[in-house]
Amino acid sequence: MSGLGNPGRTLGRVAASGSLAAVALVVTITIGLVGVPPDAAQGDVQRIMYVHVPSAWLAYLAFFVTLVGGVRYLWRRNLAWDRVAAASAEIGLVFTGVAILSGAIWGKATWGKWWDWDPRLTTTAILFLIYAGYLLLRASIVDRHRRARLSAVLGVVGFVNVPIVHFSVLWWRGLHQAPTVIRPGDPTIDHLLLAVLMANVASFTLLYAWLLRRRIELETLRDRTEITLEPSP
Amino acid sequence: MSLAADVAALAAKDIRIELRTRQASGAAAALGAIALVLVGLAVGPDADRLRQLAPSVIWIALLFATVTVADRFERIDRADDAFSALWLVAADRRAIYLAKVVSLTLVLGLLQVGLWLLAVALLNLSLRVELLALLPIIWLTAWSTASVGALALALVSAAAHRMLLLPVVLLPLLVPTLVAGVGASVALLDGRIADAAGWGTILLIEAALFCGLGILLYEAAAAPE
Repeated sequence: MSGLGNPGRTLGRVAASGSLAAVALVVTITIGLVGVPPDAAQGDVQRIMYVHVPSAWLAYLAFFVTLVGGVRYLWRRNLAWDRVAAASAEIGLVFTGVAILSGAIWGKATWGKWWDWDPRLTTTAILFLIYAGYLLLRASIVDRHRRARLSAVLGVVGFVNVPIVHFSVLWWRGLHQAPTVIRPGDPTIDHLLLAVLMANVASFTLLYAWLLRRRIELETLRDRTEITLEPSP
Repeated sequence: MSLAADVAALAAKDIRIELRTRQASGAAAALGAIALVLVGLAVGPDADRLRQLAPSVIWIALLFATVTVADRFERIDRADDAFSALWLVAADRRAIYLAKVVSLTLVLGLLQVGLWLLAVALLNLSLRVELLALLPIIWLTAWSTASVGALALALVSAAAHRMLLLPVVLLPLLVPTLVAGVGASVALLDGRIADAAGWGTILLIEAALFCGLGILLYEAAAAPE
């Protein structure tokens, strides 16, 4: 999992996966921005969906990986899983921020305001704060195994908010639209737009995989440096 | 000793210390009262507006009071490395968590009762029989808050800047409890008993979920090095 066995080969793989993610992103975002017709009701502003929805999806995925990494660490006490959890939480936090920002821009164009105390927006902001707390907790503990153990617990408890974010639009009334893809029954979106949206979700997921790998490698190097710098007993 | 006997003995220890010192409940009650008075001053003498704001003010005051109470409880346990001894003595470590939940629930529940009585006087709430239905809501909220609070305390106990980190970790996790608590009490004050019962059910699920997670994860969170 460290991926640092052969630095030359590792760099090659990283460059290849990064290039693949970059090409996929350029192609799918370009199709989303100019290749498909605008939404009948919202017009061109709806194209921000091709960034907003994949970012929100990646936030869910990243925090799920943090949950899995945390549970695996608690089970196996292997720091490699802690590195996965921490790396994924950082990426998840970034994409939650992107989802909030892109949602604010979309909201300004369609609702006339950057922010509304809508259940989906509010619970997403809370999700952001929970995982910011997760990273702050990690930053405040020196011992690696203790840091891994405590942040794993917070990663498990914090994940409780993820289904609340997703289903908040069904449980409470608000400005944010109900789910259009992950919902009971068929998706309520035009099939062409859905296909382009799914292509963007796939390319964002490639980007996530690349970022996760890079971040894990960085964390592995940091751990090795810490071990090297630790005073011998 | 059985788990229940361990929990009872440890919770009794916390409550006995609190009864003798009254430090946590005293500071939390003062904090809650100050919050109510400050909101009254900020909003002005508009009785209807104060009544509308009452549930939100009470629950937010409670959240901040929770930080004070939880921190005080934790400090007593960690003083003179008493927690390490407790960890070694306890046959079942879940008892330490459950005892903390019981004692925190008791203190936070009583604190809420006091805050609601104060709100009747300061925020012009009318006393009605239906408001008795607040009692189960108060205790469910206290249970849910205590379940998260006891776990969050264990998480930050080893961290640098513990007192700063506790609200950062604890308060976002308590938002579902805050939302359900405010929803239930607003519905009760408006006389919508069925809606309040719905929010009460959500509170029960949240409390059971957080308590269950706490039982599962406390040993990993609290184990001394």
